Amino acid sequence: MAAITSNVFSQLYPFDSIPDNLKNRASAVVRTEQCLFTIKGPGNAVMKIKKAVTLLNENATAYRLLQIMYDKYSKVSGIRGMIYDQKGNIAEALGPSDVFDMSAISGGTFYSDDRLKLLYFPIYKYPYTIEYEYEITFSSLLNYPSWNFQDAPDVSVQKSGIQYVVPSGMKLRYYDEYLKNPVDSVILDNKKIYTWQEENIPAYESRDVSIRPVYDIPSVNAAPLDFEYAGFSGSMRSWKEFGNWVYEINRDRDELPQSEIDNVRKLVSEEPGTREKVKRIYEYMQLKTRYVSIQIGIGGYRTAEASAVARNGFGDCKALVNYTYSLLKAAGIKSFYTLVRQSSVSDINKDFVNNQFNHAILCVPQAEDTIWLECTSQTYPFNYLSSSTSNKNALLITPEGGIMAKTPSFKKEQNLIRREGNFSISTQGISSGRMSSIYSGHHYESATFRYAMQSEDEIKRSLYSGMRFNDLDISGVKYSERKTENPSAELECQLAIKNFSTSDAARIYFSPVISVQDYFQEKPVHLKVVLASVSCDSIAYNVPQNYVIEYMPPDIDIENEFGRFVCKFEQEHEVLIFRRIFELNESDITAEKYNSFRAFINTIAKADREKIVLVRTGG
Amino acid sequence: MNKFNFLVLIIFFSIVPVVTLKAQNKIPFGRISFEDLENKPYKPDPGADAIILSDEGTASLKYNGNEFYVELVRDVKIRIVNSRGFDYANIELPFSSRDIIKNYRASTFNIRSGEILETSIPKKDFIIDNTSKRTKALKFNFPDVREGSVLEYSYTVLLKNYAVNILVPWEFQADIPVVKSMLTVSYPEYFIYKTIISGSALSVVNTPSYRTSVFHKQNVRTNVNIYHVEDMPAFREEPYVKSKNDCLTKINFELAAVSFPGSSLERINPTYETLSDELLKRNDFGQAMTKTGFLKKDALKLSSGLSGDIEKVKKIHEFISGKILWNGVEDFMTSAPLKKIYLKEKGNSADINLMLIGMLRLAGIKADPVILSTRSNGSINPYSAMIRQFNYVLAYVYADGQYFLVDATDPLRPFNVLPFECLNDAGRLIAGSSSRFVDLKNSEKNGTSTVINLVMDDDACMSGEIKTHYSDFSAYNIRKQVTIEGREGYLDHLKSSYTELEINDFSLENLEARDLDVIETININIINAVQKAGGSYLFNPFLSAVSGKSAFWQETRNFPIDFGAPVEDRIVVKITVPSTFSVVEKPAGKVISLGKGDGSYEFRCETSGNEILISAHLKIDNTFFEASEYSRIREYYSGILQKQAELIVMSKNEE
Repeated sequence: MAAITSNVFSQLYPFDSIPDNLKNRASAVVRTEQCLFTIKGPGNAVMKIKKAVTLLNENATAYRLLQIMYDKYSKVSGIRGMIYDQKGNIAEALGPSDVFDMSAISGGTFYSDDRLKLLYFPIYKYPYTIEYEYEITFSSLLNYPSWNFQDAPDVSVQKSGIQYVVPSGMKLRYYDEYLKNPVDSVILDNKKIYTWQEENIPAYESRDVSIRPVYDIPSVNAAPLDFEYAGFSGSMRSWKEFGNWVYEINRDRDELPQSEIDNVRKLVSEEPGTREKVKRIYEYMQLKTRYVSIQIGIGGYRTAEASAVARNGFGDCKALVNYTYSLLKAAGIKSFYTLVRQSSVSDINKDFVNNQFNHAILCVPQAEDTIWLECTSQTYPFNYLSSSTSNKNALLITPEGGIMAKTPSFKKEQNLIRREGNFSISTQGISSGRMSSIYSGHHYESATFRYAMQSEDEIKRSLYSGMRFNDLDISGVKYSERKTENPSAELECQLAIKNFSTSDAARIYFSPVISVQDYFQEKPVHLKVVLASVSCDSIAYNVPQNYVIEYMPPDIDIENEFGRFVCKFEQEHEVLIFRRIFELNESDITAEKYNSFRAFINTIAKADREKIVLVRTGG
Repeated sequence: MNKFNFLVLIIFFSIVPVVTLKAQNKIPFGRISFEDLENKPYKPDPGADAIILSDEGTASLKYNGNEFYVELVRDVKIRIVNSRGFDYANIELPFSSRDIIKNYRASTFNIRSGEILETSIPKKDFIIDNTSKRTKALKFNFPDVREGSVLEYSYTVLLKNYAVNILVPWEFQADIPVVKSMLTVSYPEYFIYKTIISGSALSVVNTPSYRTSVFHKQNVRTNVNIYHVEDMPAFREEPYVKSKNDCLTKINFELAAVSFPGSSLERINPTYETLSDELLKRNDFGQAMTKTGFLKKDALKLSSGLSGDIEKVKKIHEFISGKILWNGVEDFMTSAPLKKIYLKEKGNSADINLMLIGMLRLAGIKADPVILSTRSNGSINPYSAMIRQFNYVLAYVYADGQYFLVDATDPLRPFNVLPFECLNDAGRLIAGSSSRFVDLKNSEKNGTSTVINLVMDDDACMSGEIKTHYSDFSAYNIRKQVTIEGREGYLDHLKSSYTELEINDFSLENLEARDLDVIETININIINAVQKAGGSYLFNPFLSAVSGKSAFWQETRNFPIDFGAPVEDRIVVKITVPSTFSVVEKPAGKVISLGKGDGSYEFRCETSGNEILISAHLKIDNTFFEASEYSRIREYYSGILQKQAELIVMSKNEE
């Protein structure tokens, strides 16, 4: 493949020349997408982008806005756009005067260098094609562009490729996934050229399931060996060396005003052990600061000064971590600024040294039970990490360089939702009673998000959407937390559930479950259970007078590689006690395993729909 | 906009020498008391994460020799109640690009060691940046924010856009409670303004007064109006609200007339009586419909050989909606000469519908424009003909003895089905002396009619067919969905909605014929349809996507409920039971009335031999309900869901 030519606008993109298989399920077709990344030196590169997309319908509206981010170390030029109609004739040309420039962030003063160039393509009759090109010149490099060959499930791809030009003496490191075509590398004029090209990628069905599907998107990840950013040189030969660069760029930004140092000393003076000291300082930081999301995307690997955070009382994740580090340092406690990838689905590739991180936390190493601090939360308990930063490969930034570690996570049994209830069933179909739910482990986090500091109205709204009932009166809402290192939250309420049961002349029928598992569809899909957890319900139903239990569904107890499901019905005088336990293990459910997983889930879905039958006695 | 009125005023004022008025609007900064900082729970809304303690604005209409502008001085005090409210400490204030912002300052107030501590924001930490081609924003973050902190910011802005026409729009309500909101507006008595207060208008107290001030070297009597609101609750969205615009408590001004000394009163905004003449004179409205000679050939070709007028209307409607792409812009005035629109094949809603009217007239069909406000734009005021309240135009067509309201912005919609957004009470017909208000509807409904045919086998498995007829809006929505997602995408969507079913086959008829109902047929097996409970076999005939949750779960409601169009849904379920089973129990028939003739639900269940026949017919005929009537709507839906949850009980016959 030759490098991108400058004669870009002689091409047409008639709609009819798109193969039919690429039109299925697609809202847009990428006709061509090419990136030429020419590396000039460790801190110097030029990226040329050209892309043509045929928009098929309104779902492709997002493509009409081209947004290019840049900052102090990058410059955007040569933005041009073109619109072609269905036949491939030019409808409109857009140029530099149509480009709008604005800040990429809202508020804040730390990183006002992040800016956006915007080019807005007007609407035309579908299908029509938009085409654009632009160039970015980098005067600092940390990341080489990675490449996803497919933008979204409903976007098919006719042709997409990326080319890296590497000068002699420099090395390109890379790994690719799910590609059909291998990399092509040649040497030309003393430069090494690597080319990846994929073609004919159809759109695919994206499923809406409670367990996240995994889509194997073809991609290329590339990274430098030696690089230069903001005047600081570094290398990615090892995590140690990369960590060392991060350390150097962030060192000596830990100066605090004397008043802060005095505060810290006073705080810890009464505390006996290190753990208690760290806790006091963490809670002090939580009270004094708040998180302002200023950092987006490229650039900004360097934290703001601790003194700025002390003065303003806000900062982004890096600034808050650095500030906490500085406070601990003033108390003579060692800690490490730590990089991690915050995500509910994925983790970094530990075997590929690269800047794959998007979040910073603080690690306070201890002989036993190392402490990990999430500094962006004003409410998390001490030593509690969000589920999206738990069980991740994390890079500790130490004076000796980077050290790879693993953030802790709660075990399956600790991620527990336990619900207890006591209800009376009436003959008018109403069930009223008390329910209490206790959330622990990672479920504590979602409970605080839904219920902490919320008005009773907001809590009712959350409760209503989480339960299967359609006519609820909720009252007496009480929410409390136990904020230890293994915290829990408890929500109690009184419920009056209308339409709870149906009845005919002699019988009452009702389903004892609180939430119902959905059936899974037949077509296999690759799924991943990222968070192992347990939900445990124990509900007592008081049978109305003159009625007895005629039928209870059979007990179920299944245990397999995916988890466990237990369903037990017991009778104690006029009380029916229903117990349901659903455990899900952390699993990677490939398409081959899908059918057995589906059988497991559908057994639960069926059981959740079974009704209990009460019958009127002679009286 | 009434652009020509600007010229009149400017010519008058340019004769007189310029005098800039010293800013006499001042609101003191920093008056925070210990009580403000106590963070006691706010009784009307103890769960609020933040509260606006006060929002005060003082606005004066001024003239600088070139243009009119409004000088607004504003001061806002916010209390942060808990950490969920911290986002209210990051401020972004929107302005037009031409506005001039100055004198801004902001500080956080806390109690520290028994004293009130003020932390101010340095000037350099305020950022003014462009947010679009015509707008910009003032951005800043408050420092040192804790639970209980009081944040205060103030600024002065010179508002430039249409200042004399609209003065200063002001919102008294926000998404957090407002304890006190006050707007003081002053302007020379030459200008007469109409005010529209939307939302809970009765909460806004107006105290009019006057004073004498210097305006252009002359002593002028100045009207001063103070609008005051206290303890305004937080605005919360509710389902089936027509428009946030109507519900949010706010005030808008519109210049109604000008009366200069020595001249007579000049109306700026017409009355409904004079509106028609005004609009018909305009190049971008009335005149545009006459300059349609270029359409004559097409008009005659399309209508030739057709007998009825309705056929002609359909043909011309099909032509225009297929030819001109709607760019999504809602307006009632054209954006360019219609001939240019015709060649470009792209236009706003006025370009398209006025072109439709022009073409219909060329084919000999009576057609006139109806201007209106769309649902999300809010209701129009039937007493005040303010031009600014309208944002759309339709064609009012007389064909074969019937009147139709016609819109040509979407090729998928039949000629006699309006866009849902247009179903907004009444619009104003612009037709000279026959001008009047017309109801904005044809006979559109949200309607579906479903027939489910099920056969049960000896193993108690259920399979069969679901056939659904979609009409009017429902049909349009299906057509739209299929156009966007394709048949595969639509089938994916069906499968994820009906998880209780295995869908074997499906078909969609009449997708292309936009005037006909869309017919969807699905072949299914129901997973675990029948539950064996001891000796009984239990079955509920209403499948998962049909029964569901009610949008009306809340106990109380603040705003009126507006369904937009009448609702009519029919479901018929026929179940064939094998001879090895008998029906023991079945749901009883029931009629649930919405009350006051507004709608009803009829449920019937009969057995005939080995067949069970169930029918459910839901109607809502009234589309608008006051908030006070909420409970009967809530009960109506609850009753329907309860009925549709009832079971059919069968037993196996003895061998």
